[in-house]
Amino acid sequence: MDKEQLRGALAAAARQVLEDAAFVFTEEADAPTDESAWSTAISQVYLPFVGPTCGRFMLAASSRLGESLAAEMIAADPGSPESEEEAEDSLRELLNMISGATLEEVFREEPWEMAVPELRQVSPAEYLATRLDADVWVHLDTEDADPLELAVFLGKGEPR
Amino acid sequence: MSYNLLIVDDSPITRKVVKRAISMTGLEVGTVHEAQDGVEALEVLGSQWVDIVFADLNMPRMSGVELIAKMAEGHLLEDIPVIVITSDRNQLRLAELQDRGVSAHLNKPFRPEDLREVMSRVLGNKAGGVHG
Repeated sequence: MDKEQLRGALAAAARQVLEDAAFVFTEEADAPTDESAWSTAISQVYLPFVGPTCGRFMLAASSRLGESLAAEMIAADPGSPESEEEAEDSLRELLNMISGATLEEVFREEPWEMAVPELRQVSPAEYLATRLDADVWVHLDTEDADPLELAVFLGKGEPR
Repeated sequence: MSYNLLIVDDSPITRKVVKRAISMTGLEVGTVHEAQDGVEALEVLGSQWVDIVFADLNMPRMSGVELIAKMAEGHLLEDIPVIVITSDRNQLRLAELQDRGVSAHLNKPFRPEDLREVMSRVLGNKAGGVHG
């Protein structure tokens, strides 16, 4: 698989999905390599896929960004109990949509399958360690300067 | 005439998004049932009157593909339109599902007007379709 094509498809899908589903406009940026750019808790979502190539997608965002994305998706007030309750699900669902749009672009007519996304909370240090294994990654900044990262791990098993 | 709906998706936030989009179509809605997978959806279909099913595909326990197969086996697809709302854009699978009797599909994310257009088409022969 052409990694540059995959990266382009992932970035385009992510920006479009965030705009259409959560009305969030983002810019691609260089990824910060130190922990200070991240809040203390990072929600990390994985979505495995199989097709001509197998692997897994990953999305990482702060819990605060999860809440704000959920609020936009369901037209709730940011900080409301409802947006807090849906924060994790919003990230799972956004990765689901981003993965589907990316795979459609890279696999086209080939058969492929996506699994159900799973979320876990990690510290910034744990997150930065897992990111080192990524084959492709995209860093996006939101208007509020909250970072959101996406990655693809090709041909890899379970996250460590 | 009001329609009883069933929204099948393992994501609570998506069920809320679909529900909200339906409320914006102008459709007269009766009861909105929710199910988080195919197993729960079959339980609802076995005990409640449902006019339209909105189903996701990738769900734990029983997927949307399996749910649709079960509905076809039980001849439910002949009477109840199913609109697939999914992030899975695999054209082969979507074509197979349409051959099997699925009425329409929408890719996530969708706009309320996309849902309205699909529902108008699906309900076109039922009580004049979507109003408003």
